[in-house]
Amino acid sequence: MSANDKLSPVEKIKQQSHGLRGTLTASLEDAHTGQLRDDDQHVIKFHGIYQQDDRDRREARAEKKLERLYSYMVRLRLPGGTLTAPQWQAIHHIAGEFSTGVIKITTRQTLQLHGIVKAALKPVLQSFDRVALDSIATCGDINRNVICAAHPAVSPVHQEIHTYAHDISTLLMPKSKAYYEIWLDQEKLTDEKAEEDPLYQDRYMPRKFKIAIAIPPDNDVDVFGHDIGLIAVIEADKLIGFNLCVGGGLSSTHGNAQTYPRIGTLIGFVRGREQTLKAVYEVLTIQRDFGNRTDRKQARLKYTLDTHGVDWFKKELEQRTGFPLEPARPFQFERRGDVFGWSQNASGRWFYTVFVESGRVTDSEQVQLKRALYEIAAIDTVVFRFTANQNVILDVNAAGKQAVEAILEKYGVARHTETATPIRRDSIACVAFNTCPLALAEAQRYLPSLITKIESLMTTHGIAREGISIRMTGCPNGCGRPYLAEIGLIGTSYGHYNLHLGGDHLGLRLNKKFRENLDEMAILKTLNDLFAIYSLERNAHETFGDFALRKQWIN
Amino acid sequence: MLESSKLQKLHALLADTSREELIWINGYIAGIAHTASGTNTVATTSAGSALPTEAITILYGTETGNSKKIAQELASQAKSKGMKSKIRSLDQYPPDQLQREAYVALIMSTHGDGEPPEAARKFFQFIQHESGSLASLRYSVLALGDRAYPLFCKAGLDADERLRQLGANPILPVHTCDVDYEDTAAQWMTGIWQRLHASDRLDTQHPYTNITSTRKSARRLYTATVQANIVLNDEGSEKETHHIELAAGQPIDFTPGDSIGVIPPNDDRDVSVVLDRLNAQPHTLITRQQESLPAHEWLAARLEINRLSVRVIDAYRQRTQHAIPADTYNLIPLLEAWPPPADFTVDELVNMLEPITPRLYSIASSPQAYPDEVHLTVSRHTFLTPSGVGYGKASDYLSGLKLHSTLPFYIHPNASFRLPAPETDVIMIGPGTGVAPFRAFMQERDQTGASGRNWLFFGEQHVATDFLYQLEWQSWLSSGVLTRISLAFSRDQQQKIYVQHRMQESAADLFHWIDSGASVYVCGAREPMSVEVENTLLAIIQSEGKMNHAEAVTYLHTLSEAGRYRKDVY
Repeated sequence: MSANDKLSPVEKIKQQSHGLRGTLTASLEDAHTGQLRDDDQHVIKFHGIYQQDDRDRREARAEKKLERLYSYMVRLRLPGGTLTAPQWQAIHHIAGEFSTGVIKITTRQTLQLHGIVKAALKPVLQSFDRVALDSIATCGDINRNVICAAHPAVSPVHQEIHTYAHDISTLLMPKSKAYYEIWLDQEKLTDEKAEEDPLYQDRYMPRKFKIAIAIPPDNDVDVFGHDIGLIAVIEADKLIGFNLCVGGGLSSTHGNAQTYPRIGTLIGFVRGREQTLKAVYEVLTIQRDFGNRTDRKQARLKYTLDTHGVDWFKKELEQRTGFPLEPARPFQFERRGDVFGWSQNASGRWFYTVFVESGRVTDSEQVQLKRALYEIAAIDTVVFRFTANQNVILDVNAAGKQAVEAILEKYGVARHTETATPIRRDSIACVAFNTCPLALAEAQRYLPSLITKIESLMTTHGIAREGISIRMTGCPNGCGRPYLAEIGLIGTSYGHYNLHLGGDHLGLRLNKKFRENLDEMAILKTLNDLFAIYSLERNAHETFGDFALRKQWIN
Repeated sequence: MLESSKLQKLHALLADTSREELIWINGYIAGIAHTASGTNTVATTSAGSALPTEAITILYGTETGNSKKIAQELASQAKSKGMKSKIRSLDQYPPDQLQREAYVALIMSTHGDGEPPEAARKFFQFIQHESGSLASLRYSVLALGDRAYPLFCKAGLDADERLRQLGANPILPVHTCDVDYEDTAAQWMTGIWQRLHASDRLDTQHPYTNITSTRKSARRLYTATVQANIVLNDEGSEKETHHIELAAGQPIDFTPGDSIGVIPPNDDRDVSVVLDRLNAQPHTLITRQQESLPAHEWLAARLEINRLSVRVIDAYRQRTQHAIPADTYNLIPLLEAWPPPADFTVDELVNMLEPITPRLYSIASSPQAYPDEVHLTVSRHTFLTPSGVGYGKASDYLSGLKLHSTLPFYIHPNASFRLPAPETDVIMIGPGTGVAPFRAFMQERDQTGASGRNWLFFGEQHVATDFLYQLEWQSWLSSGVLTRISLAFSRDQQQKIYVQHRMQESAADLFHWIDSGASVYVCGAREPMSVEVENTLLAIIQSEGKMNHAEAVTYLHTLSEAGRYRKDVY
């Protein structure tokens, strides 16, 4: 470890936060401002809340002598991404009363609400609590929401694997009771020893920490893009353990060559429940102890791994767990995108995967998705399953199928899902403007209209039904996993994007930068030229990403 | 004082004189002394003719504090002359006591459209409905006013006339003062002492004529350039509050708490219509009250052509002999519906109309921070004068001011709304645009490094869109200039929350501040805000100070008398 005085400022804030309390209570009482005191803006992330402001309004409000229009994003902790129907109904009402009204499905398989004012935070979290939901540790330097292959039909042991998502989430929760004290008005703890935290201590992780569980042949979770990726190994319909990948991570910073996206390294196989949980836990303790705490841009596990080497890491892990890693088992991914429409699993339940453009559940003239889901949630037995591709799977029993079908038809949801082009259905965009403080360029507000233009190019070149994965983010931090797309558009400045090519369909390979700082006209012209060549010269079943690689458009 | 030979002669004269003769002699000698004095100064009055032994009651009805200042000066002169006096604000004076008074000096200001000040309402009601005789009362009225308004000194003149109707005897005629009142007021005070020495009866010896200062008002006009006009409310607000910065290009002489007066001009198109209707040329010079201006100038910038007063309608009715029903009219529709006779000239019109009433706006900046500027906080919809004349005209005019356009304004001092000593704590209650003078206060205290604590109560509809000057209050909070801020946003929750609720929530602290010497300022809407704030203050004083209601009222009155409870409400 470096000397204490070189720690990044956030490290001090964590250590001095009195178990993630900071001065949040006082900040909430500051009536003259919609924002929190400086340090609390970091502390509150551990409670699953981000302070944001409407960046579209900044300039005008400054002239009006008004502070920025601050509001908060609250992100739920939803390991494996499932909700009961009554929980969905509750969220529907909370969103309507306190937020912009849009319910956003995220790439981490959870839900977030935007535009909540400071005074509404407590009511919102208390409303969540009434339906047994919380937002603990969904942001901040800590293990985030644990995601898991979404579609139950993927495997008969899907349910068993989902319990891992919950158990890992519970295992890696902070011990602090601050959330309950501050938001739920539970009694103040008098004995600080009671929340001593052997995992996080008082310093938590050096940076965010992400865990994903994949169930082959689905790689909907992009298992190589996370700090820990667990790939379920199933033999004769029995879960026997997981292949363990470490050090994936997709964020980078423009102009900082020390930062880069990295595919997770497969380091071995862990058998059974006890070993799996132990290994996961100790990966975190290694990163806690060795992660870079002076430079937040070097603080993810991927840099620790590259600094110390994979062999060192394995040795350290085996020493900490007390058992050796077994050699990785073979696995085969066949698909990354969601399978839309109806399907059924072995036990007879039905699933309808709804296409949710950019993950935004709202009502438009053509598609009244929010109304439809609300009506569907009146059927008690329906389970809502969110995918890492920002879609929702409606999990219904045979008796409920007809009713769900009727509602999906009635509100235009089925038509929208079933007629959308593959490129649109597989697209991902992050939140970006107007609320994300990191955004350099638009993403979810812009990608749908750009795709309409790309669709017409594809029609021109006769490739309209090709499933080319396209992902857009407003900055290089990678929330929409753009480095794993066949076409990655990464915002550089307002209206400008780097164009990345060469990712594969399955999320096994990173793409590379092809052109820099393109505006819309340049993006369309470039793609038009590339599509022309692709439609003429591709081999049978050759994907756009593979073709780009073969043509050496990128090296 | 007298040589012994003179004194002997006087004693000889008085030795066999009847009581009636003595009284006559007393008056006679006083008259001689008055004529002989020549210089009109109090000091030269004969000490031999004593002032009355009864007390003189000095009553004042003030709007800006000027009346009170004069009343205090008169009281101190009484003291130095050895005459008993008592001094009362009219809202603290039971009017039925008039019958028991011997001498009353009444100092009465006028505001709005000839209205008495708020504090004098009760007094006016009494004298208007009273039918008894005040024959034993001797009085004099000093009327304060502003020639810029149509009904100059109306309240004082009304009071004087009514007192005479009730049989009271004037000590000397009513004096009317313009904005620069000091000379006339001094003359009036001198006159009172002379007449009281003389102790003769004015109405038997002098014709009754109002005494008016002839000197033209020395009010200074500034020409300002608009250097900012910003809507402070954000999108989605129901309010439209403008922050307007006026630059004069030279230092402006004012004090935080003052207002500016602006005369909103008429629409040029309307003026053209009127001139056309009367076949008049815009450049024809017209004289009105000894001032000559082109016809267009009179109608565009000086005289009211909208919402004509009853007096103007009456005059027009009489002149045209049309049966015009009583109602509110603008000039153009009036001329259309009841056309003037062919010989009706624009000259007549100009002399028939009344001046545009100046509108007052609290200055939202301090000369310490912006010596050459005044800032205004103007709400476009909410200003109304008590007489019902829409302030809309002025707020519309100001709201619509373009950058770099110019307008004339003058400073309207508000002597009763002044920051206390630098070390004194200040409590400011100013919801809505009532916050304007407090921005000036804070700038002043920030610039001068005043050590007293400052506590602001502010309220509006929504925190997100209507927190006027939010960034500035935040910056004063973080620098410590503003000690505390209590905010009430009425529509951010189910139940409406107003500043008085926040005061109640902080009752203990608020009372502690006040009881430890803080000055309390209220600015904004008279109704219902200032009434509810005052009721809340009384309730807090009562509960926190462990007093009964009457004691709380006395406590607040004492504060008010000490200048520690000040209101600027409209």
